[in-house]
Amino acid sequence: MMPSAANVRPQAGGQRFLFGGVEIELLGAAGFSYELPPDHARFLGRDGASPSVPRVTCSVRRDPALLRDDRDDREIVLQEHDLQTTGVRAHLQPLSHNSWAVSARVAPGAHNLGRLLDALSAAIVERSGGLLVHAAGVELDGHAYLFVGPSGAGKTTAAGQVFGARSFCVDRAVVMPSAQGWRVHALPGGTDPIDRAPDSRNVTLPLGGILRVKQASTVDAHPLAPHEAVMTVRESVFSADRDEVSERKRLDTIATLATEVPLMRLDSVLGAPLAQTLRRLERA
Amino acid sequence: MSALPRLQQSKRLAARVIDGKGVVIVIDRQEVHTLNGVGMRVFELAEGRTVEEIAACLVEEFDVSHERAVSDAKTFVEDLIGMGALEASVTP
Repeated sequence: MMPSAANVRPQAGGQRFLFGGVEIELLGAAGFSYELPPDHARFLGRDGASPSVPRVTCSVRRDPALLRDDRDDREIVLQEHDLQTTGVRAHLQPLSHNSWAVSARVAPGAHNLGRLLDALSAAIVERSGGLLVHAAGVELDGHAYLFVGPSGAGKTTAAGQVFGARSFCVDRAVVMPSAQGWRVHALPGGTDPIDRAPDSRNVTLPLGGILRVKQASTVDAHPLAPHEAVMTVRESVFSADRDEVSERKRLDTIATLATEVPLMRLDSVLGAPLAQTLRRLERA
Repeated sequence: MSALPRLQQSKRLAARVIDGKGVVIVIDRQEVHTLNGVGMRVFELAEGRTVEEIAACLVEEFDVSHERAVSDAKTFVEDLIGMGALEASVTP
């Protein structure tokens, strides 16, 4: 059964769910009782995922001293085995190639438990060969399509113009390789809802394509040159782990992604429907 | 006579040739740059060389005069240093 906001809280017996492509089991210390924020509840998936999904067992305890944290809200920093973001400190201990034991301290407040999940997903995804992408996404015909580009490029607007699609994510998604091809895991975040589109009922979908949005006079989609595709994706990727080895691994991952998934420049016109353009992309 | 600066690639970067073009990520600035084929070759040649030595390689590999090679290499090396992809050091 998919957990909901009402029943996701770390407890002695553990609470297990999928979040951002990672299976997370939260174990709360005695007296730890606050809930996950509602905006994270939509993005929880079922447990019992495939063995290739990275797994984390995370013990959590409350640390009021972290309330004084004045770090940047969105920044997640992973150095060696130590993970930091606002209101969250965690130590990651690798147990195998795709499982970790984590000990976390979290400032009081439900939103800080959400930040812990965000940070865990970002860190484990990076260590597992995936990417955390700044994108608006839609579900269309069983695939996820991600719209990327700098702030103001029209990602969310373009996503809202895929009439008949469902909103998959507004601000961030995880892209992970799997035996079945590249898959996308939706994440919470973003304040600008995609109008007109109902929410997707899925949190994980096959990746149909990544589209770099540009405003134009006619709607069209053009394949990006390989180096443009790599540059486009890298500019849209968040990186928590900034050591050289991780950055080179990330670049290799993006280069592989660019050869296996349609990466296009989408010429978009305000208000013009985009679903057929995406469907042509899928057929191609 | 002062020694010419010897160049080296920054350790804090990731670079890869993709379809003949270079993609260079300067980690500390979180900047992504693309280099054309010649630019990527200059970047590769720069490791452990001076501008004069890079220019000598370019003369051998491309149909270009020595003066033009020195001028272009100097300009481009300055760009690469400015973007944080190369570092220059003077060694005796």
